[in-house]
Amino acid sequence: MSLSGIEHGIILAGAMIGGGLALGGGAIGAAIGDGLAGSQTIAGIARQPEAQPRLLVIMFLTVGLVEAMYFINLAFAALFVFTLAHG
Amino acid sequence: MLTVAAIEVGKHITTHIFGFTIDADTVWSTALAGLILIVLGLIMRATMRDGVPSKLQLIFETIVEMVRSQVESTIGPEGKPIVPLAVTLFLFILIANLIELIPSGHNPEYLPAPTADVNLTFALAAFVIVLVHAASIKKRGIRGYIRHYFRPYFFLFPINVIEEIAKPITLALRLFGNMFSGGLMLALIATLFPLFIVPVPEIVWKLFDVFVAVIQAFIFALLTILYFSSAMSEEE
Repeated sequence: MSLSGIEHGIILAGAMIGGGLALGGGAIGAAIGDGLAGSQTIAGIARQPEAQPRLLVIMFLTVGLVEAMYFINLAFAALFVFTLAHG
Repeated sequence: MLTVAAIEVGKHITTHIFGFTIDADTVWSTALAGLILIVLGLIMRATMRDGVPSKLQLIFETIVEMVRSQVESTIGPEGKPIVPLAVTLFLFILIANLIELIPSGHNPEYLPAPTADVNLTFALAAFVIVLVHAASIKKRGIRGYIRHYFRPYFFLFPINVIEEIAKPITLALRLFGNMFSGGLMLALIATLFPLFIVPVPEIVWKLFDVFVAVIQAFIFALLTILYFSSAMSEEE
């Protein structure tokens, strides 16, 4: 199905804005989540320095889970921008 | 200005078998990762010594010991069959993620990271979730299994169902999103920076991607253990 120029332009604009919103919201959420995990780790290590290895492992685990949400957002933004806008 | 539009996303070398379209490059990358793991295991078995362990044996022993202690602290002594599954998942996903380091310069890569294809991660997640539900049914029986959807409150049934559906989906998409965006970011850096400056941010990003690969493999294995522990736990 061939779209006119303006319809194609509207679809492209919508896809870019949607991709940008997905990336922005994901980045805010991931940054806040990583910050919370890091701050609790620092508080725990300050309270009890010998617990550092265990707390560090749990912190990396939490960071991985939080960043996963961001990367899922990134995959969907890539889907919008690269595939749906030109398909 | 739309040079970014020159990046093609999700393109694979495909073959057609019995009317199905199969991503052939994912299949042979998976086979290569499995082959590497099997060969490493056989080499370790051949050079195994009782006294001072060889280096490969030391690596394997460390990983197995970490997983075994984690399984014992979460599930307890009946979790012993889970340890080989968790170790295999961790090592296979780690090797599969690290295959991304091999460049081939062709546009759909000849050896992509197989976990950057959504098919492989969904297959892994489906395999793990089927095993989790089977272990839960074996531990609790059919009636106990159905009853656990109505714990701790009766009206939480939809939420429990949604949680059980979200587990495999997030498990798959987490691994896929991490690996896929690693490859995508490499293409973006190559597109957006002038050519003489491209290698530096590429190397920096690739190092971070290796770190992400290790963490994601670890998280997949750890979440597998946690799902087994929550499926096999006793009723309160």
